[in-house]
Amino acid sequence: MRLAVLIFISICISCSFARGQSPADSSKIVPGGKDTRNKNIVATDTSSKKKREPKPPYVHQFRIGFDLSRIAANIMFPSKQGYEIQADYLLRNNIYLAAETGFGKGKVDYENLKYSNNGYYFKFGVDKSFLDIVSNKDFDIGFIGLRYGIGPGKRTEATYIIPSIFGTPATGSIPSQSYLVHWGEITGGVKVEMWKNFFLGWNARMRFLINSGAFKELAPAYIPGFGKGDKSTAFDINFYASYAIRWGGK
Amino acid sequence: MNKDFKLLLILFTGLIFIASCESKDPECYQPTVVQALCKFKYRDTQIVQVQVGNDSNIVIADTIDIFPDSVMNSPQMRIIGESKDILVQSARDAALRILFNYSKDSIRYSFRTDTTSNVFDTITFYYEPTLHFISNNCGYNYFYSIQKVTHTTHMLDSFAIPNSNVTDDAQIENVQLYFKRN
Repeated sequence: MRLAVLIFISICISCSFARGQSPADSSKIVPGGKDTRNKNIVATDTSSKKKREPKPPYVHQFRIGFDLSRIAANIMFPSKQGYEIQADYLLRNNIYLAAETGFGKGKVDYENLKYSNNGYYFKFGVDKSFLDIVSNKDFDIGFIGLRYGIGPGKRTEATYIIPSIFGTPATGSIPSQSYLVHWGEITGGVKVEMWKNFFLGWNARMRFLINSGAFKELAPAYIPGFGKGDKSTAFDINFYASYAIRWGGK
Repeated sequence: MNKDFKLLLILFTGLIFIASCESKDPECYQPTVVQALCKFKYRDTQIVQVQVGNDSNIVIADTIDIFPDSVMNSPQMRIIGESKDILVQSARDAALRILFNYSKDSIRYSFRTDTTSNVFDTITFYYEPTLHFISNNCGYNYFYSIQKVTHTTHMLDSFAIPNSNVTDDAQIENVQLYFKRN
């Protein structure tokens, strides 16, 4: 609950600051949130016939980033290890095609249950920025987005011990299992250009497992890319450092 | 977006990141020990008014059998034939919760209604254990399916198995044992 409030406040602060900005130059965005980075403002003579505006040059931006929060999480939680890279490509109207991929491994090493698992994943989706653009050099975004994720993995053979007050504990093993999970994601966050072409930002994500019946018995404690395997929903936060490559727009 | 806002955003991001740190995985909070609930009852009769026919105003008195819980002062069950001496007892209760041994298919208990009583009945439970996964934090345990119950008849008259599945649901009555009518 506290985390959800913090995220909501962050988004509200982002919106209020963005709307309060006075533009530095005359190329101010048209209200309504449309991307006018690529448009030249032309004064029109309403008395004459409307001339068709020339098609604006399109600024291509491809951004690739690395999830820095995974490094900290790997140190804090040795039972869950993973790495993720993220990329997005700017379309028109502040829409981004986005993709993430990564790999990871989990481990359960308790007195009564031991096993490990590993896997990799791919996520695809779109992001839509809702921040107004204050200049044609403004690529900062506050966005919401959707993802579809898919992640194959494998769990090793699990060994268990069941204590018994009658004497000898029960022991046994569960065979290894390969699995494939699908999930949907709703995401939102901020990416700001701290230095030229270099971005920092964060994502909050809510995930919903599509095939929750994939594990009939022993769901892995950690599924890379998703989270806890015995839960049908998961919540996560990522912190990205990204670099943007731009071309065109001249 | 000016630099001050960017710095503020990054600082706020740091706060969110710290707040988002997961707490340590929880310990096991689910029950790992499975017990069967045995309820003790006695047979009684109750006089009820019964209407004769659907439209008739004639009402006659009839008797029905009822089986109220038999609350005992300090009921006790003790395991027989195991390496461990396990005693199950309660105070002012009509029920006892007993344990099953996963490595066997039956278990015997001696039962008396009061710790001061010298009258015992022996109750044997026949069951089939089934491996059950609780969670990653708790591991595995065994559930049981009661196949049959046998007992001596010093105090007990009969039994019933309303629910043969012994699981981690502590509210389900698995076995009902009926006292002889005095």
